[in-house]
Amino acid sequence: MTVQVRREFVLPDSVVRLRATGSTDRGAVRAVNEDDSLVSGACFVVADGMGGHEHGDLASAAAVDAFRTLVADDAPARAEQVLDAIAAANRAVIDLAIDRGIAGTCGTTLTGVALVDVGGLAHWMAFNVGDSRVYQWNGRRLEQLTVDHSEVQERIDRGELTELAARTDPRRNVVTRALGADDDVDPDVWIMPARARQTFVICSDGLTRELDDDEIARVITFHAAQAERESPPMSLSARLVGAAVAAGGKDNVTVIVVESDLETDDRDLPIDATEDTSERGALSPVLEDTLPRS
Amino acid sequence: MRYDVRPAASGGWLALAAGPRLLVLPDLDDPASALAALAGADGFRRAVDLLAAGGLTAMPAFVLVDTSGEARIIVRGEVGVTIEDAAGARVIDASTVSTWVEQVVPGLLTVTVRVPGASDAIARDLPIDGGVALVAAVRAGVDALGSTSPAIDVDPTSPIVAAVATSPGGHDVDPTPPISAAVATSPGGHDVDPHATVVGLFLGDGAAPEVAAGDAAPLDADTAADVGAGAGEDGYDYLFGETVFRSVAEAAVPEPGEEPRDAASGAAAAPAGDHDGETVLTSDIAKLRGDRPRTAPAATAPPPAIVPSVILPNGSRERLEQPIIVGRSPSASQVTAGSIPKLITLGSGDQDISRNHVRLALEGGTVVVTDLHSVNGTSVVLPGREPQRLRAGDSTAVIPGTIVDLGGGVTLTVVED
Repeated sequence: MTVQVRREFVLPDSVVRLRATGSTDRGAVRAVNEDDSLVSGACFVVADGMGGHEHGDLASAAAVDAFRTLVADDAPARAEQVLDAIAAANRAVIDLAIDRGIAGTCGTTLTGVALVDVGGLAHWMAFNVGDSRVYQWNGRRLEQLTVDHSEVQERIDRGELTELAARTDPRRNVVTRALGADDDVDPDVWIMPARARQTFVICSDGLTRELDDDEIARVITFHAAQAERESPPMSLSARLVGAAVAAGGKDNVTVIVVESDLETDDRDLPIDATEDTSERGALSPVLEDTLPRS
Repeated sequence: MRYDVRPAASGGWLALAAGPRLLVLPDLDDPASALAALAGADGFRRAVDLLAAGGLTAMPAFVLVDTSGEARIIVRGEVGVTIEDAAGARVIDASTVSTWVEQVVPGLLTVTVRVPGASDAIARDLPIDGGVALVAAVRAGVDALGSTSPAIDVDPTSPIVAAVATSPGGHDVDPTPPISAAVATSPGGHDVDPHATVVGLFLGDGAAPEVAAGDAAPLDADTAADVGAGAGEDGYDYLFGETVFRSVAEAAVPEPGEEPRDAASGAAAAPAGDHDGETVLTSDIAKLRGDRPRTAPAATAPPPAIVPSVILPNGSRERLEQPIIVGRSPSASQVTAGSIPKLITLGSGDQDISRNHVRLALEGGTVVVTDLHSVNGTSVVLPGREPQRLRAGDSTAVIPGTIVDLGGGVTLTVVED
């Protein structure tokens, strides 16, 4: 199943155009799809529900509904609104457990990006609770933006486990933060200025358990050429979901791909993703001025 | 001064006692020369110099006592300090302050320092005249006043420390426990969670239900069950890679001594309960909260009466109610929801300014300026002083009137309004 949106947001000095597609699949093994997602105007969220077959899907749906209600579809959000929505989503999952008298763990991961207005400038805000992920694709390289709240990630951080060993570790499915687990939810947050062209890949762990980062990058790299030969062309999100299911599909798979273009009259707005401050006395300012503008 | 030390079995700090001066801190490269410095006539100043050598952020937790003149005490970080004078005993709590707490106590009788997370080697106090000892607790008594204070051990909560240390879930038993394995093989493992143990004892005292609610993961029971299921190599969940959840407390393999610190924080604050139960309880809560990693220090610090502001180059003011990040195109990376900084874009056409150049934040009532690894660096000019250059990533505390120079003619002024 794939959904698609296109939006244009006008800010004081810039225009941001977004194209996003979202796809999901139950996978090859699970009976129920416990993932849910929101592909709205300015806010894109993936939630991976957990807690057994009856309740995981309810938890992720409750979290996503809270976002749908609280974050506007037709304008960039404010950072506080997104935080409020995360808190409301947490509350919704806790209420769900209480209302239904669910005795076991009922929770969901939540990760995503939102276009936010910071002092009139377009920024991207990424947020994460759990082990779903946001990646950035800069046209050449795939970079994981969020940091998993998982036991294996903690052991990697302490130098006790390699990334490779983590992929097969029996406890790789244990998350350390989730919505619905505690009255106060503690999301990690990133806020960064929007740049000329950006691509975000938001996914549940059904994608990243089947495909490593290099394999995901390969699918993205060859996507444009493949899509040209298809009629109708497949979206990138559907292609990634299909690749994960083909690779085993042991878990539900959900992928959202957000492509963003920033158009601005302000020549001074940053256009490249690299830190390009010049050493005083160096000649490099010329270089930034001659970078191509989209 | 006379010193009574309680030797530490584990997690002890060094106590350096030299004449009228006592320094307690986690560790030192060269205790002998530090002791010599402390013994000198200007030992207080030399001890402060030694502690501050690496800058504010590198400064360890410590307690420094000098009774050579009017008694003076400096406390930094989370350590239990109880002082006693003619008015009775009270706790000095520096756990919510990012710099340190300094107090002058005329008529000081005793100072008792309890090391967070340390367990006693023996249940007795040993008198020493001076020197260096590895201690779980130390008390300094002013001789001339003939203190008759009881043993350090009046602390009613020290059995907690022992209980934690010896309980099956206690991490002191094995400094590098495979917590995961422990949890996996014993689904009931949460019963011996040291947090839970401590919380239970607090509840028993009729104290701090709020702490209990916050500290006990509400899902503990289910969590343990789920973890058990998830860990079973042949279990269904493992096969299908179903996501399960554990509380952070269970997931983190604590540093040795980390877990019992909660207990010790409580223990440290408890002795004064004999004198003023409510006060102790409050600092207790603050300490326990302070131990919770999710709490942002800036958020827990009591709001100061006056919030300083920063004057931007365009003349506008930004109150430091939240940290601010100033740069050509600033961003925030992996911050918690409670400490999201305000992003201020300055000098957008100026190549001297880095995207993220400098951060200003109010920490424990003090404005702290941090260079964010800017390419061209940051200068700080305190009123009436020469400019001080911050190396990449350095922090410094500043006072109102300070000018922060980002280069390229862009300056910020810290004011108190």
